[in-house]
Amino acid sequence: MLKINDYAYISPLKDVHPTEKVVFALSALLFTILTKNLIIASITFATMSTGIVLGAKVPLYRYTRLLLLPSFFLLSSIIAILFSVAPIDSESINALWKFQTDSWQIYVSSYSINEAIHIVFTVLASVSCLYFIILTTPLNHLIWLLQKAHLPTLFIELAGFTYRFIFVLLEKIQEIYIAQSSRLGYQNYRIWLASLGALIVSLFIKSIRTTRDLQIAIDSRGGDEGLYEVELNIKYKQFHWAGIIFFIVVLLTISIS
Amino acid sequence: MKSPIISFENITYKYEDGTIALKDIILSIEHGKKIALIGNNGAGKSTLFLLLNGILKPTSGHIKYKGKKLSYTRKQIKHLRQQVGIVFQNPDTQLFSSSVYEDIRYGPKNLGLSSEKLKKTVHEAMILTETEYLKDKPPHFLSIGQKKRVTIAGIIAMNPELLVLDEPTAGLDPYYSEKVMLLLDNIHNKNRTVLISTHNVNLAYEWADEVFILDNGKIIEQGSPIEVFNNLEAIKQSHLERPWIMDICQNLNLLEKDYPKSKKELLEMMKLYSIQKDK
Repeated sequence: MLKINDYAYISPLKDVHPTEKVVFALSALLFTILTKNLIIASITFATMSTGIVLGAKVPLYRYTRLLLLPSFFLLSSIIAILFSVAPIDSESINALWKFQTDSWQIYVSSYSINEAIHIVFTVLASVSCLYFIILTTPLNHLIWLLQKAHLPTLFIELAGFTYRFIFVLLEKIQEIYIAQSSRLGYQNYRIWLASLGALIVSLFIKSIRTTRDLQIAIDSRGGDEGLYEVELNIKYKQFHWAGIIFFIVVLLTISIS
Repeated sequence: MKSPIISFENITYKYEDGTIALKDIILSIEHGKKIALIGNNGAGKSTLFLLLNGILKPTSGHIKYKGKKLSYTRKQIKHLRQQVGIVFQNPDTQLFSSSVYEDIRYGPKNLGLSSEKLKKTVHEAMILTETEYLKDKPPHFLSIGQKKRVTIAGIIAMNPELLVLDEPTAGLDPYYSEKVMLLLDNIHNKNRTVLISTHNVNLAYEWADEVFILDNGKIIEQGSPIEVFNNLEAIKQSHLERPWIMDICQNLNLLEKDYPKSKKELLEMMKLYSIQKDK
């Protein structure tokens, strides 16, 4: 399985200047969240998805699966918004659906449906903006950008390490999982549980050891601070900026009107 | 004649990003052989191994296990993984239990052996690999040579018919390399085939009785070591060298009968040759 940061490294959009991509995606994100307008959310979602699937050449089914990732959180919050609970004697207005017990009633109002729809659109649009950045921009470009934004070195390095090590960890999990499966791990419920336990424990031990080795490697190469020294040889393109400004103007007109 | 343990029929494997790892591989692995698979980095060796025990499924073509087509049912996979044991190149990923003993026990325990039989199997595997004195140590305390032997013990304890080792001597000093190779000789018998992957042509030449060269996802040459290493074109194509013993024999015109199989045989041959010359 190709991991999401691999897409960033092979994406055809990786040679576009990171500032352009981030300004593009973040301005769309800003409009989506501030206006909570369904049309703006739809436009953002459509633009970002087109960019990811056609521009960055991420297979459609993989992108769909990535979108499903936050759906668990989305679903749980939607349920909380959709259903309201009230005492039986309180007057509920506009209840489209009602379920009553002795002293309580659960109901769905048209207001909460409206709210839920807005949330689904906003979340999907926002997530697509972030995916656009993650799937088209390699880590070192993002770090370059964070440095230009003059964020503290500690913050940048922590972010860089965390992001990088998520994928190192996933790789290790996969390797151990294959080794376990080769020796008949995960065959039935009991073995499954024991195997999973062994995997987690050994992952902990290996992580600590890897960190220690990494620290030694950094120290031996004299890396006291400022580990990331990113050089970027990508030029801004007027054509891209024109596109971004046009996009912002479109969003602005829609949100004003 | 027994049917081969595993045979590949026109196997192609394509990765998700479109890279073709293996192209139209035809291959059969017979009983009781010592096979060396040679290929440079990225030739597709690891993919081939993971196809052998059913972790990966081929994109096209099919794999036959003892003459029967693999259908990847749970039961069949379980049987296949018991019969095809893989020792991975990096011992660290393979040793995931909290002690050496537990790690060796993992495979046979999953086979559902009785506790008495389990004890015996693990004990035998430890004796064979000389790992008994490490029994209670946690795997991350061991040296690479020790780790390697423990990983081999863990696979032997499952008693597979085909033992696959990915670069068994990688990272080992000459002493431990030789020890591992001797161990492989002990493990090999007329029913059990040992398949190793290696970059070391000299090792392949001396140890194996069958050699495959995998280059860029294709098997470009297979046969006895002498046959394979006489195919200079295939060797050049896959960036390999000829074994030094063959080079020396040819340069000194020592060849009367067959190529010697080891340094010892070569030295004897040279001695004989100089005696004849003196006369």
